[in-house]
Amino acid sequence: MTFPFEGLRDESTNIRCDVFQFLHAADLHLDSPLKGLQRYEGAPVDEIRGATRRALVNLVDLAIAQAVNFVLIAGDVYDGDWKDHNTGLFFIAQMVRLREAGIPVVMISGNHDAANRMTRSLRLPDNVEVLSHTKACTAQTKSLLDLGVAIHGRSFAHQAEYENLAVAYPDRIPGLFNIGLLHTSLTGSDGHEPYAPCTLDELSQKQYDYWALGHVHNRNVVSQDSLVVFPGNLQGRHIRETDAKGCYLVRVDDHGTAAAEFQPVDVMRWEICEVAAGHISQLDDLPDLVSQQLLKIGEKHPGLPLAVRLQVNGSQPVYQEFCAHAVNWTNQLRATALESSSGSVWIEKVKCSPPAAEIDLERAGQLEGPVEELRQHLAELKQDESGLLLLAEEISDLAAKLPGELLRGEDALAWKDPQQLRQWLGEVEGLLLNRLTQGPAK
Amino acid sequence: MKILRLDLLAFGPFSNKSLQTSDGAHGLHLVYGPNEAGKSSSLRALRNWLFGIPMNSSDNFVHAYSTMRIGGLIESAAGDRLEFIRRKGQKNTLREADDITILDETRLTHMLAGIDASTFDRQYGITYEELRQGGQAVVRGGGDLGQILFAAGTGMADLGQVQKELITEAERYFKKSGRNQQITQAISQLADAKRTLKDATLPTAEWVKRDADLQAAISQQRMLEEQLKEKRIQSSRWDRILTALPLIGQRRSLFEQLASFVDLPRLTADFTRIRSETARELDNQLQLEQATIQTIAQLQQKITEANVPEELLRFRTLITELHAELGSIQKAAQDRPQLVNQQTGAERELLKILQELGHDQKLDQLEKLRLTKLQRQRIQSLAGDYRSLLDAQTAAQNRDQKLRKAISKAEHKLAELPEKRDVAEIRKILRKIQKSGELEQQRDTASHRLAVLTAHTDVDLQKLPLWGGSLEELEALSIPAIETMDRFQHQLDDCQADLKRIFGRVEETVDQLKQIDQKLEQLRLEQDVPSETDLLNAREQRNVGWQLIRQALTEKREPDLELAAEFISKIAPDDDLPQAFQASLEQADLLADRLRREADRVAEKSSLTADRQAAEDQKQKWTLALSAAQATWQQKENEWQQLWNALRITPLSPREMRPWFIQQQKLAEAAAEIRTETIAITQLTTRIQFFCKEILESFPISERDRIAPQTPLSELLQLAEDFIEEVTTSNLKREKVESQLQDLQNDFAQAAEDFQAAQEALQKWSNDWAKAVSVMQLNKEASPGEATVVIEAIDQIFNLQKEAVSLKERVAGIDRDAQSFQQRVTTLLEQVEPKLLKQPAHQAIAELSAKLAEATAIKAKQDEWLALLAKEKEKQQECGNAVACLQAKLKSLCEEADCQSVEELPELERLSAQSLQLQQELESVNHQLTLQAGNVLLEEFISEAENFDQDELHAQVQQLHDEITELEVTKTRIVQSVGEHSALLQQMDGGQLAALAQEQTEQLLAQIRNDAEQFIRLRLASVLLQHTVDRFRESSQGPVLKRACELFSELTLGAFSGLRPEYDEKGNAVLVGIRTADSREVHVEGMSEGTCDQLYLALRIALLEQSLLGREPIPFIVDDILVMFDDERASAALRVLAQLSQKTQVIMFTHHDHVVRLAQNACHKETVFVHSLAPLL
Repeated sequence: MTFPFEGLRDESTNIRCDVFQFLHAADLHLDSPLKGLQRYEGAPVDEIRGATRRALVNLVDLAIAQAVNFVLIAGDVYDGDWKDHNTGLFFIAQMVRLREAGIPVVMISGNHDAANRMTRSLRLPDNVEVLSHTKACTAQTKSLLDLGVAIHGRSFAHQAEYENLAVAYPDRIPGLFNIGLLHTSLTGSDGHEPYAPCTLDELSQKQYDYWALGHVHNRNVVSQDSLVVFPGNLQGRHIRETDAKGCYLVRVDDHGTAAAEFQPVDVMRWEICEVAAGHISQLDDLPDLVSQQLLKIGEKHPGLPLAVRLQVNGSQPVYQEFCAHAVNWTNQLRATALESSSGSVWIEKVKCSPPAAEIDLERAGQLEGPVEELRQHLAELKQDESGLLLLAEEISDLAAKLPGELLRGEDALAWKDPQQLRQWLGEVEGLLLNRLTQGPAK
Repeated sequence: MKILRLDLLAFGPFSNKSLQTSDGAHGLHLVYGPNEAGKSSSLRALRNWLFGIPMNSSDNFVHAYSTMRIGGLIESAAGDRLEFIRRKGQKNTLREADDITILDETRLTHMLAGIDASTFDRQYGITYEELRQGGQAVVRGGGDLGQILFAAGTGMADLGQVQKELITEAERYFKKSGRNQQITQAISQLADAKRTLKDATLPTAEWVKRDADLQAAISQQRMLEEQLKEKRIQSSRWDRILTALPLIGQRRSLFEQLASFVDLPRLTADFTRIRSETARELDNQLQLEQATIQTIAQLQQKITEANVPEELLRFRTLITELHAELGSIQKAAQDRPQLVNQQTGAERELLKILQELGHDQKLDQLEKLRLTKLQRQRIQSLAGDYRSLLDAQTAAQNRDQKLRKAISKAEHKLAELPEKRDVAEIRKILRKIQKSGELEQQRDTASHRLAVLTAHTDVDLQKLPLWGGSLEELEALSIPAIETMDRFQHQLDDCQADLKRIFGRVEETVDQLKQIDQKLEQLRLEQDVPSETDLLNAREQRNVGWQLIRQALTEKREPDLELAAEFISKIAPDDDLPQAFQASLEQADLLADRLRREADRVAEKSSLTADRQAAEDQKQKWTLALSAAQATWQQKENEWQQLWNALRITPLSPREMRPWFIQQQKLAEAAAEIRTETIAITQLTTRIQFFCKEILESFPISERDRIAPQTPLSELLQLAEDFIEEVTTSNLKREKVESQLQDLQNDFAQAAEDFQAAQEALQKWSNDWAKAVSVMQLNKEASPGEATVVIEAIDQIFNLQKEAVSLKERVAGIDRDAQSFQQRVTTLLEQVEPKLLKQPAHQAIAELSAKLAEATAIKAKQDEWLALLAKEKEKQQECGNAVACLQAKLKSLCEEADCQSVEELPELERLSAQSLQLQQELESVNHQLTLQAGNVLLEEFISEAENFDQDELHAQVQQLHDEITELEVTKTRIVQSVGEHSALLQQMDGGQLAALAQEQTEQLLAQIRNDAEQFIRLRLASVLLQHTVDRFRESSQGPVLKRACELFSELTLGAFSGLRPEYDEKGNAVLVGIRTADSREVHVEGMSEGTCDQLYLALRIALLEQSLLGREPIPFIVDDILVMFDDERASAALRVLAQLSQKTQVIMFTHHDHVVRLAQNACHKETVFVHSLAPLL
């Protein structure tokens, strides 16, 4: 494996005004599996194996290469419901690497860590200081105080901390560089529980020089004045966690001014590839379009394996043809992706959407016939929730056999959900229109 | 929307063909074109006009893609019109009537009410194949009403197949009780993966427990080690004491022995060695001193005896120098005479050259002759130029002459060549003709083909039976259509089949009658079976008898004799009345008994009698039917004959006429071909003649005469080509010579200029030269060669002069050196050896040198002895010092041993050594004890050890050792346990087996999810399709079925009076037909293929009519669907289409002219319009 931060190492030698520098990471979610990837022949299975672990290894490599003065982890090292103690042992091994390089680590527990039994059973090496979960305090690691840095923070005591933890953080220590380490959702964020809520104003009032936050998985520099930063998680794990993932390298000059620079450490990435196919009338032209789009995406993330969702926005005929032969087309596009990416792209899913509501000339032209009857029937059904539920009963035999994981949680297969049923009805309409009209050739 | 006009501008075989379809309310438009007339192309053109020409259209065999055009005019129901032209392309394929302005496609889409190509095909078009498939699907679907209606409505025949595929596909994913379905299998794999995950997971609790176990073992190990350490210390201490106890005894004894040596001086260990070495060294030094004194005396004597000549040695340097110079002085003396000769020789030579040059100057006036470097350079440079200037002049002259000759030769050549001529016109014509190809060859080929064709056709014509006329007449014959023949064949076959069938029935009835008669006869033969009538008759007889008897008995009167006689004669002619009555009574009883007894036979007989009557009726009926069928057959046969009579042909059977028809068609085609060929040949001949004339006229008049009249075109072309080539070659030649001449004249002008320039240069040189050589007193006529010779001579003179001067100087130098040498030798000899003054200087110096060498040798020897002497004296001094020192040392040793003389020393030394040994033994014992004492002071250790009893201590030590061994065993066990625990913990190394298993479960979940969604789509599609079919059936079966019923009745010529849904035991609606003849329900399986087709057509049209209500009508396109309909049903279908054309335009394409005729007969003139696609050449 090539060293991923070779370029940075050179750059760092040019910057002489840095007084010290540190890495800020959060939400490692070690051994959290990548979701939604159905295995198929040729998919880059090996390339994405153990991604969260390898991302952590990259983070440690980066810290050593940059010879940072310390590393901050703002919570959620583990996944809450993950029971394998090996994960913790792996984390320790990586922390030991930092100890050997003389790099101290200051971290807090997040909601996931608090929920995990492993967290408190692990004996972390002596370069790692976990801040108390009983009250907000300042890190005691001597080398940090020598450096002129005060790190304040508090770990989560329970999975659900709905209190505002930030208010009780210690006052700024004059003459030192003050850092706040906090696992929070701030005033709330989509897809994240509203734990340890607080406002940006409350953080600013503390007059810290840097707020190292965790919990929200999208990286975000919330404030530039005195930096308030969410580094995002270390490795994307599903299609809602797209783009590069990593940590922030923060350099502090002799005026105490901090500059944060994002450093990717992830080993594979998620992308949604939108393919505008409204102008083509037959699906045979689609692979070329997809191939072109994938090349563009590949250029954005050179050298990394990708998990890509193809979102095809097609014309009516394309949409119907896709619905009618979705599996074949998915397979064909997967083959196209393998070919155009030399096997480094894993097509997570292919979705095809019909064109947005257009003047439905076709419908106007469909006279009173079976096709119109079908459309009419489906349109009525979409408005009729009890009808939808009755229809859902047709698939109850399958639902009874499905594993529980698919029926619970955010991504559940909501087979009784009217909204979901309506979507399927749309696809069924495409499927039937295609099969009924492309019947035996005249 | 209605199509008013379709322009086949450039498409398929058509160029500017136009179909006017504007007539009628909407109109039933029949587009008729026999085979190859482009029926299919025109049908495609209509579609392509409305919806675009496909990328890979095959209708480009006449018009290239780029020129393909279809145009026309359409009109909406509201009266809006749109005229447009379609071209082939990817976008902007619609243009206005000017074929330039681009037309917005949406305008057409609006006119078409938004329907697309596939909807148009599906709902507004019907082909023969679709009709057949529809008919077959009606049968396959078992008459399921919903399916039939749905399929007819979508124009898609096989709904059942779609439904079946949906179910099959869904079942590939999941089936309630299946095991091999994709989802079921993945779920089972998921369970495996989860097991793997569970096995690989290391619960924190387990790790904590293992860690605690390890910590406990480690602390136990530490405790044991502590105990062991203590025991070992104790053991070691007691071991030391045990070791020390004997040593303590030995120590005490040594102290006692040492007490006797207390007063002795303590000598050092090496005292004896020092003492004996010192005495030996003293002896050696004394001997050495003696030898040195003797050597010094000998040396002093030798030095005194030696005699050194000091005076000579003082002048050593000078003598050596002079001796060295001697060689060169002698050599110079030898060279001198030769040098004098060389000098005089050079001077002579110099004078001689001067003389040759004609200068008689003295040697000292030579300088006047010397040339400056500049003068010399100028003369040499001019001399060099002269040759090249002369060459240039000559060369220019030569070129001038050569060019003059070449020019005159070229002019002569040009005069001989012909003038230039123009061939552009003839070439143009030639090319044009060549482009038309090998016309004569084409004509010959065509003629040949024609001859062959005619010959074959003649033979075929001769072979054709039933025909004696010419080929043209045959071709013009209006032969009945093959369909008509087929129809007749079917009809006649049907008639014959009927005849055969009816005849069979007649025969059957006759047989039946025969059998019945046989049975009756048999019954009769067995014994005539009494009938009820017989009994009645018998009873009547009996009653008559009784009346007679009664009259006699009761009325007492004579019976009617006449009656009685008759009665008696009937019953018992030989008896009287009572007897007869009795007999009649018995007979009646007997009959009644028999009737009772033989009831079966009676019944059989009555049944047979009834059957016979019935069979008789049947025979009557079938006989009538047979004659009716015969009449029908005869009528058909007559019709068939009449059909051909008009053509003056007596036909064979329709089956036999079919090959005849094919042969006739072939001959007709051949006739058409012959005609085409003939026209082609004529055209070719005309073109050839025209070209001949044209090419001939293009030759120049002079050339024309050379060409024979009637020369064929190919030869004319060859002549023209030759002529063009000849003229082109001569023109080229002339151009070449002209160009050469021009070049030569240019060169000639250049040569003249060059000659002029050369002459001018020579003149200038001549002037410069005169000026330059005047310095050497040469006149200007002197050649450069002469000037060079003079320059060389002058150089030689100055060289010789230089040489003479140099030689003279060298002779003078030699003389000076010899004189100085002599003087210095004399001075030296006067001081050193005056007696040698008499000898020549070089002899004296040689001798002096030899003497000097001898004196130097003596001096060296004496110096050597002096050095040796000094060394020996030093040595003597050293010896003296050493002796004194050694004596002092011996004295000090005596003082140390506290004695007076050296002789006492050895005894003292022995005693001292003994004491020392005891001392050492004591030290050794002390040392061993100190080792045992460790860090305790020796005395303390000894006093502590002396407290122990040795034997008791032995026992204690043994016990301690046992305890240690026991503890060690326990410790080994604990260490092992620590090792095991830490090995277990090390296996828990942070590996990612569980994480990887989790990844795999996620991948399986993703797969199950995708499959499940796909299954759900398929399942829902299947369910919803069925729902829709049912809904559609319910919504449309009323009005549509009613209308379809009318249409079906009409299409089947009233054979069926209606259609209605029947419900089977499952409640599914099934379509059945009602037969008019017997009002019986006929399921679709019971209908003929043709009837099924008509049923499908009826439903299609009924649904189409339904869908047209209140909407923009769209033309209905029909493609030759009546192929398999007989004339009556075809007429009925045409009437139905004509009715439909009241609601929307109907355009029907057909190959068959009889369809056209049928339509014209069957439909009103104002509804049907025929458009013919003219036959193409």
